[in-house]
Amino acid sequence: MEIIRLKDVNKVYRTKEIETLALENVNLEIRKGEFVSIMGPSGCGKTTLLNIIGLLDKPTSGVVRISDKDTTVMDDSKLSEFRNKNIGFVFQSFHLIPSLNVMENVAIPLIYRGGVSGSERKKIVTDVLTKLGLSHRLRHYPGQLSGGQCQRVAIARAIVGDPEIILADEPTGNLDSQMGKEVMDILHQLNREDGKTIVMVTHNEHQARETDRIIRFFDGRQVI
Amino acid sequence: MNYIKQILFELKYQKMVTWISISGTALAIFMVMSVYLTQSLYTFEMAPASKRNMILTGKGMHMQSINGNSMSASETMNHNLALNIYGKLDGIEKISLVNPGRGASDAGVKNGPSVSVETLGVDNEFWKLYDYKFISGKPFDKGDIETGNNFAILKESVAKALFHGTDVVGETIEIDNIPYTVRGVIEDSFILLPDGKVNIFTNYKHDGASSGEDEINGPTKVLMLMKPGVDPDYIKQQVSKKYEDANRELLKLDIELVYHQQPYTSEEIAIGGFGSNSDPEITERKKEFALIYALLLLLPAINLSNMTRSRLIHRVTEIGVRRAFGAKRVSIVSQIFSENLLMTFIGGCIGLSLSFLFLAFLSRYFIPINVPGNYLLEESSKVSSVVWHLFNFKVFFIAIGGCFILNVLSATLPSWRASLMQPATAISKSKQ
Repeated sequence: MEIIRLKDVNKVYRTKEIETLALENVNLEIRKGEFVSIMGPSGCGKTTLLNIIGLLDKPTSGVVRISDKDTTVMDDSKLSEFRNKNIGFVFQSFHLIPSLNVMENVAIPLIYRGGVSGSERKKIVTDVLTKLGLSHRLRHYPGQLSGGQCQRVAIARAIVGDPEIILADEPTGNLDSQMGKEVMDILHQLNREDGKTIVMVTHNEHQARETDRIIRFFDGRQVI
Repeated sequence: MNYIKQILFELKYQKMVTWISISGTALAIFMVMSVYLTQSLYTFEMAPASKRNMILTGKGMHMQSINGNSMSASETMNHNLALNIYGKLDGIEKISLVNPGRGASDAGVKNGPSVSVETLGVDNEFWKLYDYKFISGKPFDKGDIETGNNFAILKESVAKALFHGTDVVGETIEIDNIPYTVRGVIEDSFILLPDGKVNIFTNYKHDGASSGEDEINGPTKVLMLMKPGVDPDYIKQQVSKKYEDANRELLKLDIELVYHQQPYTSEEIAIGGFGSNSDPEITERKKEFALIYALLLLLPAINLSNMTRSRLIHRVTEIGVRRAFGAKRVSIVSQIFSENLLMTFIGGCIGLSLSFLFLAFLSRYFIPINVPGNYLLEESSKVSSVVWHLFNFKVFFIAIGGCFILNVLSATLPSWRASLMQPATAISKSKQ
């Protein structure tokens, strides 16, 4: 069963001077529980595709269906709710909020979800961080953590709301090989054990081969 | 809780921008409070002028020739004219005639010390308008006014300077070499209250003394205590009619009095800027002050708007990340609002503290100097503490409320614009 379906998706960036076609007629289906890598040279539209799947950006045309819901008809408020419940993000630069400690960073999706009490939130966050080996870093701030720890916090934030889909944009791009491997192990574990659907943008051929499927892009078009 | 952390974080990492935002509000509050405080110095009520704003003052008059010559003058009035105009007004509870004529004088004890003093001639009714506290003796009575003898009531500091004590009723002092019998000693009063500079009150004998050929000039000033709930304009209307009556009597002297909104309220006297031959322009001055207050509040709001925009430039990625994880636009806007409100509150508290410091400075260094009788005032420990009565929390809350409203409005545009950005665009800003 497809959890992500893109039909005839185009994305054009317009400025006063030029139009740039970032995605051209993309048709894509990703099954529930699949771990998919997206590869291609820089500027080929990988991140744009990930942003559109993650509802962080809107396609210029085409339909994006997530969990069998047409997201192109949702307003901004509905999109926010939908993202909150269904999608978790892991960014290359972690994008942890520096003024918040580890617990507070991880709690963000639950804060915006509503209906989760403070004590409940604390328990969920602590459980997730413990699972990721960060129970001793709860009160630390991002500036006090290593790159690998930051990315694990970012993964914790991505999964704390128990979304079905995790979108990872070059999650090991800022890490050394050892830390990168640890992060990849976590993602595989989430895919295998928790059944998360993972879509990962990567430049790393080796990491990509370890996933279920590789989708290659070139100049905004899907080539494989 | 996170809002406080966010502010503290920004104070650490965006020191300049955050401090400018906070200090802008602090400065606004401080300025508003300072302007208000300096304004209220001349209108606030406290003993012995507890009914200050219910007291009207009739003084001076604009006199001009009727027959076409160019005579036009600002004059003072005599006792009889004062009574004719102000003596029987509806809505007035008490009336007192005073004589500021002598002013600065030398007062001393024969073969003893002498000091420079301000004097004021007052009648027996004067003591019913004000609540001076007598340390010894009593106010003048009707007999003191009608008698041919000279009596004086001393302020505490003068009594101590001349006699080293306050139990001096019946003693004799000389004011400009004229002997006066001491009738009583009163507590010192705040220098900026009405007659605060006066050190010695003498008995003003209503002898009808006049000066000048027209026999309407004299040294008299009239103080009137209005009954509760009476509108000063009602009194002014009556006085205007009294001027017309007086002018009919003055026809034989070929002069007329021009009415200029007498008697004056304490607020009109405080604002000043007018003479006996012009109207007090209190509405214009109030508009000027309203403009000053508005500008004082508006400028930090503009500052905060720009600073908010500047702060948000550094936080675009954070906003994008929050949006990615489910924050709605309204959550982003309310987050920024709350942070701004908190900053306004911090700024307000700093402004309030500065106002207190300003008052402390005012009371310690400014008020006791550059006024006649300074050497006497410094002896009074009460003076420096009095200014704290000026502090008005109502004004502070109005000022900080104004800041809150303007700051919220000023944060609306930048925060809404930040929230409108597509999350992907916001997040990608960190890569640029």
